[in-house]
Amino acid sequence: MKNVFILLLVLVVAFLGCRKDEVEGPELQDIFGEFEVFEGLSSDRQTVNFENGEFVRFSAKLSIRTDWVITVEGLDSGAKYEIEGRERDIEADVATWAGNITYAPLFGTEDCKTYMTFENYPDTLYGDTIVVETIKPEALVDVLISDFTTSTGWGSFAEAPAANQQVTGSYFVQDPLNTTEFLEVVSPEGEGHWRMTYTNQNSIFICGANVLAAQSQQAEVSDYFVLGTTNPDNVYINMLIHGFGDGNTVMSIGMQEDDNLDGTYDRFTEGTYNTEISIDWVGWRVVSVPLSSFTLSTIGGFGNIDGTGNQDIDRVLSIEFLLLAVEGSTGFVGYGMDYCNFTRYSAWNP
Amino acid sequence: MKTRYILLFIVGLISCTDSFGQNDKFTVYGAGRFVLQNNSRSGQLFEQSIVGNDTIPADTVSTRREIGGVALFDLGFRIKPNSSTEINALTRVSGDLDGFWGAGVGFTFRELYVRGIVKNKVRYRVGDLDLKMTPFTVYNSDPDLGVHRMSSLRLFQDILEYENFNRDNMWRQQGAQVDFKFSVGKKGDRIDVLSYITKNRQTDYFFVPDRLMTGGQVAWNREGLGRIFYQTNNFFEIAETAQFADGTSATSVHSVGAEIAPFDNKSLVLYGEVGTSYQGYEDLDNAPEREMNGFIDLGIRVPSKNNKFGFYGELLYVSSAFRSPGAQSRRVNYNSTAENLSFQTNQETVRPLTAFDLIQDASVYNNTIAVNLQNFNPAFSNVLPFGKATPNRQGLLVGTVREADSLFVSKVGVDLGLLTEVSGQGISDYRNFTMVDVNVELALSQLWGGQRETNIEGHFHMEQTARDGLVSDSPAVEGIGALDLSSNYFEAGISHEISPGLALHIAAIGLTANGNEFIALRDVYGQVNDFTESVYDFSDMSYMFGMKYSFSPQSHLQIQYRTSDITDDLAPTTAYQWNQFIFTYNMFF
Repeated sequence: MKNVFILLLVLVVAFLGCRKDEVEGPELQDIFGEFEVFEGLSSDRQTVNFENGEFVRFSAKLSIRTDWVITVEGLDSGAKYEIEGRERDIEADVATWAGNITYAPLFGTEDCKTYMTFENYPDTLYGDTIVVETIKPEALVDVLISDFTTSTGWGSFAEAPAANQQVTGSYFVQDPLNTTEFLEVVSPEGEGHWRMTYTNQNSIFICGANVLAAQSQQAEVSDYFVLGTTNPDNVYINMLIHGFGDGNTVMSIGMQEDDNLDGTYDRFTEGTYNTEISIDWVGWRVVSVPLSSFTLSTIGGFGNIDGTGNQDIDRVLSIEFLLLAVEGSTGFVGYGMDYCNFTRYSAWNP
Repeated sequence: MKTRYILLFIVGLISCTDSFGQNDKFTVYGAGRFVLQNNSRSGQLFEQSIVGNDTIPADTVSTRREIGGVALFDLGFRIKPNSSTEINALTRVSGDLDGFWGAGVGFTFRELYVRGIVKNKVRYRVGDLDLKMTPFTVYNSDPDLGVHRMSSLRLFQDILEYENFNRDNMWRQQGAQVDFKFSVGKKGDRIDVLSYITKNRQTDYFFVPDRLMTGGQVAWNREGLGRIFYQTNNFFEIAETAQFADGTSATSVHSVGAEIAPFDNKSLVLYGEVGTSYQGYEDLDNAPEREMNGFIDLGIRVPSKNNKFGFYGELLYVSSAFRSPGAQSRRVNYNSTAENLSFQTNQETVRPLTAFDLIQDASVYNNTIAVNLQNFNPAFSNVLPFGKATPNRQGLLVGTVREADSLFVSKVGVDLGLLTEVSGQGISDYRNFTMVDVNVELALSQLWGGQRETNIEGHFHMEQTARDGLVSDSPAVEGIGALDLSSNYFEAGISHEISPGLALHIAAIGLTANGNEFIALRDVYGQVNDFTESVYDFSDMSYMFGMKYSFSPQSHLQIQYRTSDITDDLAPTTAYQWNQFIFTYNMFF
């Protein structure tokens, strides 16, 4: 009997050692804590030479996890870089700036203000002003689809009398968020860009444009986009997209595949892989999407059947861009797009 | 007309039983019950209240009084067409007391199964099954407030367990079961094999697929020493049964265990069980990775013999993601609506369940196995709300028990639980749990050697949960997560036999809860994705007196009057008093 009690004692000690450090569920501190700034926004340097590969690392400490945005804004150019996060202790691993942009134009050698805002709290934390002494090297693309300035090769189609065209110079659009104001839209790269805008009554599909591979600005002459890989995980489609803040605009990008390699696309027997982007911002924003996130079209009669049964990115004959409206919405919808391109292995990072 | 035919059918069958007699080939069994209730309520809920500067209008909508009842008759037939086959069918005719002229009369099948033995070796059963293995695999754990009912309430418990088919911690399922045993090795040694398959959920043909439960047990029994066993219980969904189902899930539990009595006189029993669980998902968005989790349960037991105390001690470890639906499904359903005085306030909100609802109302109980962890009320049960298989618990359970009919202290049992969490919930600190359960029965008549029984019965159950909060220099987060919840439940009563079979009783029960708790909210995969803080400060006291006449150990007539005071200091405007007169006649045969 004595041995049994000794055994039990050993087991009790062993059990007490079975504790785990992991926490189940979200932290109570984030749910029930009050918002407080323990340490304000700061950066590890006030001058930066991006050309030399330098970075700016930001830090801050909050009492709870909440959605935040750190913004770097060029005081001369108006370029913006945004870092979004939800961390409580903000450090370099989640808040680093390498001289790139979120909103066009590109940064110049200029002073930049930094500030941090919160989705659920009205506070704004201002950080150090950062002097950009040299800008980052130009971000190269692997395949240029169209810069909408040089060349032609684009087509358009519409169900509504929408503005759906290549434009050069600038134009004004009534601000959907403040109808007494107008937004001036200037091409962020080159002289031209593509514009699709419309005052929607109650439609879902407004208009579309497409670029044939054979008539695109890719370096190689081919009926198909030459991406250098067949793995959709490794290829990104990138572009600059201008949003107007209306909240009703959806962009659809479709990759039309010539599954039987006969040089034409048959929407009834060959597949289209597409993706949708909700455009809820104002200004020219850099957008990148990996091709692996594209899925076979579910739009009835338009590329629902994949002739090979696989996504074949080496058989993309044409790319189409659609302007869609959120179902049931009315009023302004639209976007601008510029400098469409493909990059391999990483997203375009201008 | 339909009712008339049903009654004629039953009368005819009863006549047949007379002519057949209760012979080996045909047996009749069943139950009969008649319940008449008069429920009324009053109190602050029905008065205008002033809270601060606000005037809360009186409840002018909810029912003040309900009179009703039910008469039902279960008639079962056990037919043995041959020596190796038995057919059981239990039918029910029931009618509400206000169902005049047959309106509201229902005729249902309550039970249907066939069982038998093949070649005198393999037993089988198809239809309704009653399944139980161990508290970590398949086990219908005791409900909140436990099962130690004093004699004035025991009739209600018998009815609840009968209505919900969960006597002896069984789960009622529908399917097929096979078991057999064969001798091995030395004389008396044998291997027992049990296997079953049941349908746990019916498809809706569109989005929700059929779910099956399969499992079994293989046990090697060593004569005079004990047994070791392996058991498994599995749930899986059949995607093809629902055309538009997004995906499927599967859960499996495996365990091995042993129960060994090392001494010849069986004065000591060592037992233990270890096991794992897996949950997997196919084609479901955002489903978590397949993860293995487990439990360990090791114990020692000294059985109570010859009026001496027996005791047990047990070490328990259940990881936070251990999932065993067959053992973790709860009996009490806090999302249900009580049958009596169901709603309150002018907004007709569902009346929160009281202790007496759990004691008396069969409709607040689950009778199916749920794959996900179900809601529970920490004020009623917080230490082991999902039985011994409650996830995220480790610690010690000890207890002692003695039963001696001939002594003044005819029954005494004490259970103590000291547990803590395996991983923190929302905070790195752990909850610490303390549970004390004391159950005493005193036979006063033993003191003076009286012929008529006079018994005092008491049951006390205390649960305490505590956790330190976050330590921080900032008042913004200092102390967050701290909790301290205390709940106490008691039953106490005295009964006195005034003539053979006829006893008077007076009793009280009470449930109080005070403190706060952070309740974990879970997603469809059972993972914690949010918390809500609940604060408790309520008192639920009931006092009753009545009489009970026992025609036989299985037939009773009880008349009882009860008054309950339900007050919640956090919502004083909802305080009410519930008075009940209840006449119950129940018979099992």
